[in-house]
Amino acid sequence: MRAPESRPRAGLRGALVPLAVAGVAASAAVLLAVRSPYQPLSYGICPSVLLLGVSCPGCGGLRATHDLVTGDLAGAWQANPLWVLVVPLLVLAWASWTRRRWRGLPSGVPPAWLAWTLLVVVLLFAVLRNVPALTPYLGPAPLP
Amino acid sequence: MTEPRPSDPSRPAYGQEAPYGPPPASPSADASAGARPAGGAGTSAHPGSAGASAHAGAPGAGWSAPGPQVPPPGAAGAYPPPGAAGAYPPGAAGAYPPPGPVPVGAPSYAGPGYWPRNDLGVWSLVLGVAGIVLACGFLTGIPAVILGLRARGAVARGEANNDGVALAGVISGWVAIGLGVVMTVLVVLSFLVPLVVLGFALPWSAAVSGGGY
Repeated sequence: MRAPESRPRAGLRGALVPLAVAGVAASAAVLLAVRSPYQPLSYGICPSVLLLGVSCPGCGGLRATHDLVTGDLAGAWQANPLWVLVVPLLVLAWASWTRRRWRGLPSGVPPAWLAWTLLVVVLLFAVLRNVPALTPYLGPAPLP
Repeated sequence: MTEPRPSDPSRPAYGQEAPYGPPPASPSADASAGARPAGGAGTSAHPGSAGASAHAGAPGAGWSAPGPQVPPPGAAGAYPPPGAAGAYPPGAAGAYPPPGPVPVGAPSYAGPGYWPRNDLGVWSLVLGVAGIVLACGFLTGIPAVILGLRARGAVARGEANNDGVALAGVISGWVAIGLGVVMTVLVVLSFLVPLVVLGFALPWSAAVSGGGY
């Protein structure tokens, strides 16, 4: 009756895209664990720091990921606390996405208020972590 | 085609599924199932438009008459050609939800004011703006473009009404991707050029001790 292509595929084929995303993320995590971003300029430099001299919301993200992978939660929090908070949400969202794709359900998105909240938090974080008094708490720790 | 579960044993064979009356029980699953046309095989090759002409064979009667409704033989030739079914604008389909594998028709059973896919456009815009702020915007720019295109598709199907937000999400997503490409090229060049031309790398680490990704 219905053509098989006219509905989302279920099972392993349906979950191929989430699994591929997970593979890329895992590869990046392994790379960050092996090649430490704490080495100065090991991954280049953030264009925001290079051109504007300010820390963007993602600055310290590589170091935080390295610390998370290697189990140093305190170090990760010092590098980028927002990323430490966002990673579990990303993992949950990925799990939900994969489950829906696996069952052949259409992939939904979280509600819009969560998107607006996230945007406000990111923008606030971008401003506040460049306030000198707050940089020790929010900003990336200076490279050793 | 209005059944979200394809393996429903109670679903009648094609041509006998005339009762388009009650809306499906799960609008989101059904709408999104129809939201994946996936390659025209189910859309054009599937004789959905023949069902349209069979449906038009009893205007007003097919709407309320449940049970099997087999088109009379030869009736298909007496009615507009199959291609004409697609000529109706989607908004005018309130009386007859389009048959075939595009049963979306969210406004027809959900009523106006219900836009179940507006979240797509909002997420696209937020991710696009976040990608611009991040300056290395691949990570959020690419999902922003994907979600924005899906949101615009949802608008075209009548499942969302925030086409402006969706378009802004697509644009901001592309801007984030472009910024990310430009920034990456700049950073790489600023490493390579001094290294190749001068023979050493510029000692940025002393200048911007808090730098790095």
